[in-house]
Amino acid sequence: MLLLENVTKTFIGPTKRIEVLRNLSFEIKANDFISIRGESGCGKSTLMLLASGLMRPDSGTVALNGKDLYGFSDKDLTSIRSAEIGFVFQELLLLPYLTVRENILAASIPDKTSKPNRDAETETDRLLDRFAMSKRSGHYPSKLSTGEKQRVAFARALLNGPKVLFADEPTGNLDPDNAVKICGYFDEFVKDGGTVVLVTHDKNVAARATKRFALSDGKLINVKDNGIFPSS
Amino acid sequence: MTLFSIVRKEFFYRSHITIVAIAAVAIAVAALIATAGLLRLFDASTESIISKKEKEVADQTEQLQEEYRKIGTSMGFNILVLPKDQDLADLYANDFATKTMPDWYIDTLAHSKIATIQHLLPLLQQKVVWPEQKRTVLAVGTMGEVKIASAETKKPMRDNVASGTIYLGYELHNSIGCKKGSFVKFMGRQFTVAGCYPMKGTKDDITLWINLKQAQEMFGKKGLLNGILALECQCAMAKPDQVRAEIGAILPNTQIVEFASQALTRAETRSKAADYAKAALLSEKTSRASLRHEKEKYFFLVLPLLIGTCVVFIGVLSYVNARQRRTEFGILRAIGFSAGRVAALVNVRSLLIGVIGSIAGAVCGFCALIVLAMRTRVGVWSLVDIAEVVFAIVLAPVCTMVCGWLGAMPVLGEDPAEIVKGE
Repeated sequence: MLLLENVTKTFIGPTKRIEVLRNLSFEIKANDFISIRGESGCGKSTLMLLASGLMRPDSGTVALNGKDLYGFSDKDLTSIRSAEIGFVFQELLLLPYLTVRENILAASIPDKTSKPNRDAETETDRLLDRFAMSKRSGHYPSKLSTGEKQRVAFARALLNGPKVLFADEPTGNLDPDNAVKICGYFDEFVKDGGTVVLVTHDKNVAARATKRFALSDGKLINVKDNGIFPSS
Repeated sequence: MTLFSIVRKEFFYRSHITIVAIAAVAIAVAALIATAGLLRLFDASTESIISKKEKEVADQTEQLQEEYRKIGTSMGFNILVLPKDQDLADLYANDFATKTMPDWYIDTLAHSKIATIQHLLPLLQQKVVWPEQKRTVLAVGTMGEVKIASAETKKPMRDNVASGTIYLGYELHNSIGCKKGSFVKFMGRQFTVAGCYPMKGTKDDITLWINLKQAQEMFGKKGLLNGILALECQCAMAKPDQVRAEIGAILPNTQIVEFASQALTRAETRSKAADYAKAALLSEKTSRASLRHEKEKYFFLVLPLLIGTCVVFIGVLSYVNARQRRTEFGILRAIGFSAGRVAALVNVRSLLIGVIGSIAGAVCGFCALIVLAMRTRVGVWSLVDIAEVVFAIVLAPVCTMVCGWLGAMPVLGEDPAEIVKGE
């Protein structure tokens, strides 16, 4: 489904060049539930952005269903991202001036710009129900708890029926109860045939994935049951 | 949910920055409309002043001319009585009448009951060579004014020229170098200079006046005259034609001409009155035009400064707004908004600010002109050019969009991945 081949990404730091990813190759298959762990600054988020078509690699290719993602025009890439890929971020990144419902619906705008999308509205209502946010649909993000915000962000990521869901530290700011709830949603998404790529520090969250990797020194290492980062 | 819904919601969410941006656009548009209106008001006021002035000047000119006419009339006019057979062409060509008439005509006229003449002056004029000075002069023999028996006694306008005395025109006494009391010789006779006249710029400057009897003797025209000057005929009582008719009845063998200088003087006086009025009007127009130029200069300095400040301000506000929305732009990109769609959010917002601001500015500018029109009692529509207002209303949103775009560009140009990653 998603194939990263010999991907390299370098950033220019204050004193030196930092090679975050080095000739990294990695395949994400349909219905995979992948977790990637690693120390802060090791390049987990970069890998996720790169795989999701948001950040162009310095070298190597990222192919979605056999087509080079970065070979598309910005418009087409945006369109693919909108239809195929969903995001959940650690910082919840909801638009403060939109209500819960509007925040979810905003994800439908790239496709239906001139008229309200009836299907999207129905789907939004369904997602609000599913994430137990129906009663809060008219509230603004400032009135929500962190867990509620994360559920809204999750619902927004699912609105366009993505095939792959990328999540960057989705439970980072949540209490254990809410973290469990969110993880349950990931499980459900995979059960429904979706693919999840999860970047996390949390060992327990990572353990829910069927494929677990660790990122170290620009390389991805397949991790079995016992983690290679006991400290994390 | 549409793109416009997002713009609308954000518009009200960041209401402070929105209101300030709208105010900046409104100020620029209002200033533009009000300035144009002020200049138009100045023009209207100028037209009104000039028109009023023109009417005043026309009235004053008419009044002045009437007054000058009356003054001229009361000054009287001069009549020259000539022999009937005198060819006027010769008179004008030679500067004196070649034909003569008996000198008792003067007595006849003086003892008649003529009422329209105040003063009579018998003349014997001749252009002669002044042998001693070897130059041609106009010699006039006169005896001073003859009193009209029926007229009230008035102070004579011309003094009697006593026998043996001579009066000299400016050019003559000046070239000879003599003055009052000097002695000069004229055609072999010695005369005492009784008067030297100042420059007049007429043929009087080359004229000399001597006693009539002496002149008759010297020119061999004893008992003859070639003109009687009737001075200061009172046309308040009689017009020149009436005077002519009255004299013609008393002296049938004469003809009468109006002495041109007086008539011309009156005409010139009237003309000068008109010229003065025109000059006053021109001066007013010039002064108003100069004042308008000054106002234009002032407005065209202040206006671009004001509009420029507003434009820069809108750009800065747009930049501030874009900075505030940096994360928002990143997340929108991440959830599927293209760069163009995110830019559209900025542009639609700027357009909305531009449209609302320009309409608000136009309304404010118009209200200001209404107040101005009421105070100055000028029709408000004479201060407004609809095309100009439409132009301002259309131009302001375009400018706002450009400023908004330029202001937001540094943020819009950022990599969304960097923004998301940074968050």
